[in-house]
Amino acid sequence: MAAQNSIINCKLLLIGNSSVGKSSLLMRFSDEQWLPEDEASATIGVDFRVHKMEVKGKKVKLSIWDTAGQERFRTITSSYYRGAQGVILGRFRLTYAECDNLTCIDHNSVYDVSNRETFEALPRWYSELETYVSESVVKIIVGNKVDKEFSRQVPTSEGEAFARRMNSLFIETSAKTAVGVGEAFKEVAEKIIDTPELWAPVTSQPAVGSAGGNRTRTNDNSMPGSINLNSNESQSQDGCAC
Amino acid sequence: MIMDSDVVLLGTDLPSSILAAALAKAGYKIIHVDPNDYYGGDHATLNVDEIISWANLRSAPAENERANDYLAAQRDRFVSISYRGTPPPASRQYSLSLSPSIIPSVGPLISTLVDSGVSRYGGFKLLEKVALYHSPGFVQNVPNTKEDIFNNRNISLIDKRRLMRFFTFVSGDFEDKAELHGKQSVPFIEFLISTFTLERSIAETIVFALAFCSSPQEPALPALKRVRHYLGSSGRYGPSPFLVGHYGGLGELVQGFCRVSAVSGSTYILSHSPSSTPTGPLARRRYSISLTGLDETINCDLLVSSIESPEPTSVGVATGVARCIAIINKPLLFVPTEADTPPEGSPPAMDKVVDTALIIFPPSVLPGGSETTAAHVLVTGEGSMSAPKGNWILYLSMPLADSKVSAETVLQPYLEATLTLADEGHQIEPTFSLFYTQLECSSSAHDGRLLVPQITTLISECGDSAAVVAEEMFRETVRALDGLRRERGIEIAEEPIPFWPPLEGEGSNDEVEDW
Repeated sequence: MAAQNSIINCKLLLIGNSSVGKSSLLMRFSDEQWLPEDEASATIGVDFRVHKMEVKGKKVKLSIWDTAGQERFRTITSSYYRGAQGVILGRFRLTYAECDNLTCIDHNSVYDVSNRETFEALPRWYSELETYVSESVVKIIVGNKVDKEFSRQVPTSEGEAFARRMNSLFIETSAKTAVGVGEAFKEVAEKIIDTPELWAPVTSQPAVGSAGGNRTRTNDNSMPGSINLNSNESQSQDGCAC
Repeated sequence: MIMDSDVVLLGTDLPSSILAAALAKAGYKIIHVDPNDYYGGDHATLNVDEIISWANLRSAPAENERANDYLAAQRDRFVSISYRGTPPPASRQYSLSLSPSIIPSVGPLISTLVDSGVSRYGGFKLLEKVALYHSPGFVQNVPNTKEDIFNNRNISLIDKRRLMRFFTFVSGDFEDKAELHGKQSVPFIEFLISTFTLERSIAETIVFALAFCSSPQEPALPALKRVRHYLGSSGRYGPSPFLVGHYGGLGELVQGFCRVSAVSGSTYILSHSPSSTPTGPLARRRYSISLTGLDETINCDLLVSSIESPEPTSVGVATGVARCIAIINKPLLFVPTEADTPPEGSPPAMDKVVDTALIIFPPSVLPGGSETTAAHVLVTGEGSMSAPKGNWILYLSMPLADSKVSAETVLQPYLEATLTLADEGHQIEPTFSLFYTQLECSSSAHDGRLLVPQITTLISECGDSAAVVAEEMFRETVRALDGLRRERGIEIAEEPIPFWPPLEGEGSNDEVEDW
């Protein structure tokens, strides 16, 4: 079965603590927009964005998913993680308004150069990832809000060292000034393309059985006979032949 | 600190989750709470480790343990729990559903999935086959299409003509037809035999394999409506009328609806229950609720709950469903009985390997089984992303008239009979099996909360039933909230709020055709 028009579908997840700027990063990347702090509130209305790019001569369709605010009480659904190839761990800065956000009872993961606490929460997000995605999934730690250099609490070198230890890529960005944002997504896409087991067709894939690992399938729809309700016809021509 | 909302929803079962998504999209501020550390309540999809812990929590309480209200109610609802075997490795690769279901391709749930946008989140698999258990090692395949019926050598020409007459009748607006006049409550099997002069064996196939009746005594009208619904569902996504959701079905859909709800601003809190009855009224909201272990207080105008009330009055007549979830590592084959074999030689054995299918045991087919009630066995495998390659999940269920008998006693013969269909030609053992009985409890509303009704447990109807219940609850909730706003002198829009507003194009797959 030839890959459909040789477009590679990749699901990327944004994860990290509340208010570290995950949605801002996504908005900057996909809509080239940035909401000033007084307008930005806890995530409302960002589900996922589709972004197409050419990576190493291949057409790649990125679906980039936001947490929908479900990270606040650590209630991200297991289905959120399914089929992901890449994970962008936010390490961003809390804005002032968010510091007294009463819903932030449990800061657990994304970190921010100007907020030490969010950096120290990163390991908890990694344990969540261990539970739900396979080891080969591409991870990048993004230190956001470098525009707030004056209040930096986490040195670049420390972030880099941590990323190395966690077998992750590392980049510093500012969703506000657009520094590094495109590069962050591009680096993840490139690493995914360099890891064919993440996107090659199911049939050529070795059985997935790593301890605690979930399925690493590129895409549920790559399973023969899968039906997507949003397309008018069944994708499988080889349905029941009885 | 205080969290403010219009509605606090207790319980994340499927109807409540659909309701949460609809209310949030309509602009209401929702705080959605579940006592479990997973989504879905009684409709959850769990991995093997989780379902063992689910079973342990609901079995006999440990000494000195004081169960919370939720757990106490769950222990009233789920009884006769037993499991055996070794949990397979890679527990997470199994998606085990507490509410196994097949979903008609046309109907309230599919409409709700598409209209809400939840359909973008996940995939489905067509149910490959429906078969009636015949004898050890053999099944009788149920025709999928009219062509199948024409080609079936088992049915005489005259019976084929009678069948066609029935299908024409059942596909149309039969409610006012003469054939049905005065017979709406007649047992379905008698209706088929007397009105359409169908042979009993053919009538039984319709009763059990097309209408999924538990008993031939079920009244004609609702059974006819189901047959019409299912016949009208075939062809939309393939020859079978039914879809099976990836990753365990309804529990996965629950997560999709909760995500839609969260995207529209709802707050999700798992592993928490209200610590006391709500107090109020307050200045701006009617109630104040505290959750165990949370410092925050939640203010709201309405409490909507699918969690049983803790009052012991709730257990009424003990009817219920015996259930079994078994994991096997050998495929089942649907080998038809001799008379059932298609004329042009046997197809290769691989065609008979079952990934996703439904096996029905009509009453009396199984020595030692029930003589009055049908049992269902849903098989799901790798094709529905619910088990790793080379493994399958069997969901057995049978309505119980007498809940005193243990689920294991009731279903073990059916499990053994199902396993005679295994490839090896001899019986296999499940690697893991869990038995339990799910009782139907009626709950009563108290402290002014709205109760989300329980949905049916019928395998082909539970999903649609959830969507119907959710829409009714949506209307009721909006009415109640509008009433409050009017009392407060807030103007209410005249036009009724739609259950689902039109979807915005953002992120949809429709726009990506332009490479």
